[in-house]
Amino acid sequence: MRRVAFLLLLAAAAPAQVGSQLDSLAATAARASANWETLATGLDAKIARMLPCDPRLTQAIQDVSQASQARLAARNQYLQAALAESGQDTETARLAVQAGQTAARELETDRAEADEERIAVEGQLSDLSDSVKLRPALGDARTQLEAIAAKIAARSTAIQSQIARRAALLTALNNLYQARQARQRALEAQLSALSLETLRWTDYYAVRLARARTECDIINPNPPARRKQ
Amino acid sequence: MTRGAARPHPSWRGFLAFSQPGRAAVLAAILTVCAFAAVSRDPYRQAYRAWREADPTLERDAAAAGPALSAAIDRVSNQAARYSAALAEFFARVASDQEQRLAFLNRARAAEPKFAPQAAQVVASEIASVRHSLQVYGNDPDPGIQQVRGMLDRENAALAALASALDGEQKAAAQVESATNAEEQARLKSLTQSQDSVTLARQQVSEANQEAAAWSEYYRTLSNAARGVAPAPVTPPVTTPAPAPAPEVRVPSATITPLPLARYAGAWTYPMSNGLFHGLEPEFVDLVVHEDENGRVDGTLFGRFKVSSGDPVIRFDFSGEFQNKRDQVFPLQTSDGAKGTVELIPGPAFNLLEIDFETEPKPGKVRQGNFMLVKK
Repeated sequence: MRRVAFLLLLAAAAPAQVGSQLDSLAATAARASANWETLATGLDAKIARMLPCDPRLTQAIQDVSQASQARLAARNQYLQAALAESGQDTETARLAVQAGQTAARELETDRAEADEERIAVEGQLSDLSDSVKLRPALGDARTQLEAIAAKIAARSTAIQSQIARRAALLTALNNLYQARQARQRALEAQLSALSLETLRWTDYYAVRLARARTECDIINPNPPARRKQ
Repeated sequence: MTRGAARPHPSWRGFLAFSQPGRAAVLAAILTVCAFAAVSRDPYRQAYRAWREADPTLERDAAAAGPALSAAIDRVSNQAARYSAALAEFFARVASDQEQRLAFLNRARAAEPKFAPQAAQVVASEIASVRHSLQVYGNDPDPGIQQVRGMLDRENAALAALASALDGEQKAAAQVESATNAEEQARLKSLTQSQDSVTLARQQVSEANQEAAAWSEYYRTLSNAARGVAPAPVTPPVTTPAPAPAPEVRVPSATITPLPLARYAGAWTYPMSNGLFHGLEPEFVDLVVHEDENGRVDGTLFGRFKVSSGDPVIRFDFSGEFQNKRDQVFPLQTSDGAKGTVELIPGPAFNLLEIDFETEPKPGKVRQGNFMLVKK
């Protein structure tokens, strides 16, 4: 029993945990992106005055490439978490729609039961009216029973109104569910686009590095054997 | 219990095999499912039955108030109070449950973060730089320059592919942002609707409490009237015949049917035990039949049946004129608009009435019933 209580407590904390995890991943991705931007926007200026075979030149390109990989990996992690959270949110909305449908049926039962009660009270009223003819002192009780019958009829009307409101709520929840599904699909598409973008950045930096090495090779076609670093 | 190394119970091992975020998601899913569990109706239904069965003839007996009546009224009043309290509690739990299960609507989603806004500029700048170099090198026949030019061509192609991928990703990000905004609008609309619905549900609780108070007041008045009447029978009870002690023995002004109209008219119910039925078994049935002096009849039947699926409840109204025959058939219309017929068949005893109804088929709805009712 204590384990169940513990689990429920943990579960209650779960959405908050997911949220804070997402915030943390977003912050990491933002830091990695800012780092890459600093290196990438400064690269041309940094290497402009370097000689083609200056080892700092290839190192600078490699640094930007690695920063690019790091920021794209961080974004990927963030999007994966956002997608997981989105899936959970979509499921919550789906269950809310399902519960809303059940609640709509339950309201029909409420209304039917209010009608049943009204019929029963009508029976009581009929009996009491007969009794009042014999015992006029029961007149006040009959008046009160009539008021109760009116209240029960009002309950039935209120349930009818609630049925209309729940129908509107159900429509709104259904729209929310569809909106969450659409967002989930959009996140999946973004994740896929990011994977392609990651490949393209990798290709570009590889070609950029290859050009730097080619430029060095042209100027210095027979370099001494490189020392092992 | 030993305090040695904590080993998970076998049933938890599968659960603990999940990663931490996975566990959080599983737990959240468990909580979500728990939050959507329905509120039971049993307590107020049982209380309702107990109340209705406590003394079905109380109001009729009130005319001939005796010393035992006050006690009977108190007993029924207690049952009514239990039912009213159970009903109010049910409504309160439904309202609270709804509020709780839609609490997720209160959580606004944060705006989508924007990462590396200068990425497109970086790519554009590199493309400009590479294309400028390509122009500078032109068609220089120098083999070294040609080699570099070849590399620049490859770089230019890589950058073009990158620009296209980046554009695709930015469009996808814009789609996510747009979808997030649409979701937020849908959430706010749902939240407003949910608040409206919860407000009405709370009003229902308040009205149920008012009904409870009204019932209590009614039974108190009835009891007072009965007490006031109780000392009255000073006159010998036998000297004058009491006028019509049993209301069901009403004598109609013009009896059209071969049997007394009282065999059809009045309030009828399905017995709690040993009920007779054919086909679907009723859980309960209440029927009220009114007749007027012109021989017209109108009635309402409300019942719930034991069904494996679909809606167990049926409610229909019927009306028509009594015919000069034993079994009376009337057209009916259910609360769902289905049409059909109901036959009232006087039972083997004065207080028994057999009902046989049939409606046009509607998916998931009760459409036939045949059972014996007893007079209330």
